[in-house]
Amino acid sequence: MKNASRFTMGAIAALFLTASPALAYEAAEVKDGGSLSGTVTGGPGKAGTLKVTKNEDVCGKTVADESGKVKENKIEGAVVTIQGIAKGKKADTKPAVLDNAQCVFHPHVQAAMVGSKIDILNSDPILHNSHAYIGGKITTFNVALPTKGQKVTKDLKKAGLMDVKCDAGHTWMKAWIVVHDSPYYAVTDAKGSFKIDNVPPGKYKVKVWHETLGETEKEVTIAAKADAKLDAALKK
Amino acid sequence: MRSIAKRERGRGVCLGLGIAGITVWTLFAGADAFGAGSEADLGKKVYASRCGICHGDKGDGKGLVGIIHRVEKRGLTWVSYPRDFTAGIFKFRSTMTGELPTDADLERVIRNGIPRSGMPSHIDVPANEIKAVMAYIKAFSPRWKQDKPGKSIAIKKPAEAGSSASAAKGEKIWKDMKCWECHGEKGLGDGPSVATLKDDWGDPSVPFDFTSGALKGGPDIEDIYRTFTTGVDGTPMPSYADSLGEADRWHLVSYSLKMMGKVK
Ligand SMILES: [Cu+2]
Repeated sequence: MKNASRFTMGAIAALFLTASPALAYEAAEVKDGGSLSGTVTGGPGKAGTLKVTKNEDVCGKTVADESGKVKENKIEGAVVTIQGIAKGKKADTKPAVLDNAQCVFHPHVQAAMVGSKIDILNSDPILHNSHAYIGGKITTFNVALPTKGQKVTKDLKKAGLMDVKCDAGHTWMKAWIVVHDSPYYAVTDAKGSFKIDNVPPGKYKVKVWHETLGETEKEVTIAAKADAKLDAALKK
Repeated sequence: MRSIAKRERGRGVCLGLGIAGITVWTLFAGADAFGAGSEADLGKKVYASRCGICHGDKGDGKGLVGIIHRVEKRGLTWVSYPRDFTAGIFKFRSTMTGELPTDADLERVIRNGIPRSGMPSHIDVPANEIKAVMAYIKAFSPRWKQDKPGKSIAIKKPAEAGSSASAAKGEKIWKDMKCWECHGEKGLGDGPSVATLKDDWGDPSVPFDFTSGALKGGPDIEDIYRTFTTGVDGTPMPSYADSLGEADRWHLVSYSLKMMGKVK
């Protein structure tokens, strides 16, 4: 009996746990979808280089610091996510890519949908060691890439903010991956602009995040077959 | 004290039978009061008497004993930190990198202890107390409610593992896989990356010196294979499951044994 009651407890607990944080996303045809576009501005940016302290023959003496790319107040590499969409356009089935090339992660910032895969590549003839954390603390994978041309594929199992570092002594290496619960995300380009299309009409919360310039949340209404504008300003 | 716990659980069984099938809520409350309740009490008591002094009342690894210093062979000093259970990160697992350990993994560490660290063995502790304290430890981190433990990897030791022929192949793999960048060319833990290595708490992480003595992950050949395959979470030691084939990982195990002086 004790076992039976424990089982019941477990079942109840499991129900709450799986139901509350993230409902499974469902792909369906989007009728009269709208879009969201805009520009992310702010600063101050940070141009400069990071000092290379290992494998200079492959990496060079310095690498570009990509943690605050701002040009004329426009922020590149901010991630825009529309919140709370449980049903909508089909997600990209191509795996995300994180390349270790000349001792820099490419891309520096990206977004992907939870449940998709990521290919971690090594384009350098030296050891890289991609160690990814989710939510700042918890290792989500830690994989060795000892040879040029190596590819390791991992699942992005959990939504949240991932950061990746290299444990092969390349202390300057850093990448960010926003793992979102729907395919409604975008990363701003060099002009600070972004566009997310095929959005089911409705009122949404939109998050804008940048690694060094902070984050903000806005509310936006996206009308059928129309482009809604969202400009956001970030400030350190 | 333990006999009281037993009696309470006995009452739980009778009561449970009495209210069978009435409502889910009664079952829930009944189990809470007499089943899970007594296990939680037991876990708390065992933790307080055996674990808290190092791991802390809050499970954050900041107990009264604090950091434990040890001196390694050849006079090298390193520092040992009691596990911070609030992070939900575990080093010695049979599950893949980034996954929670299985109950068997936790039990193995509790029972056997961790050599070259402050963690003693607890072979004297009864099974029900270990089970209760495992549940208590899990309550320190929300991760145990969000994630499920991973699946244990399969370990099938090939006949040639541990042979000198296999070790010779492993020596080349050691070079190619750049194990030496952290562990050194001869496995002395003195590779060129050592100064940069930090664990998830920002404390210096010391790569294993294969000539220095006992392995933290366990003494058996299968234990070494498991560590190469799943990595040591919370430290820079990665998983080689995706970077290296199974046969090659076994050759690496053989070469490790050779560096430890266990292969002729
Ligand atoms: Cu690297």
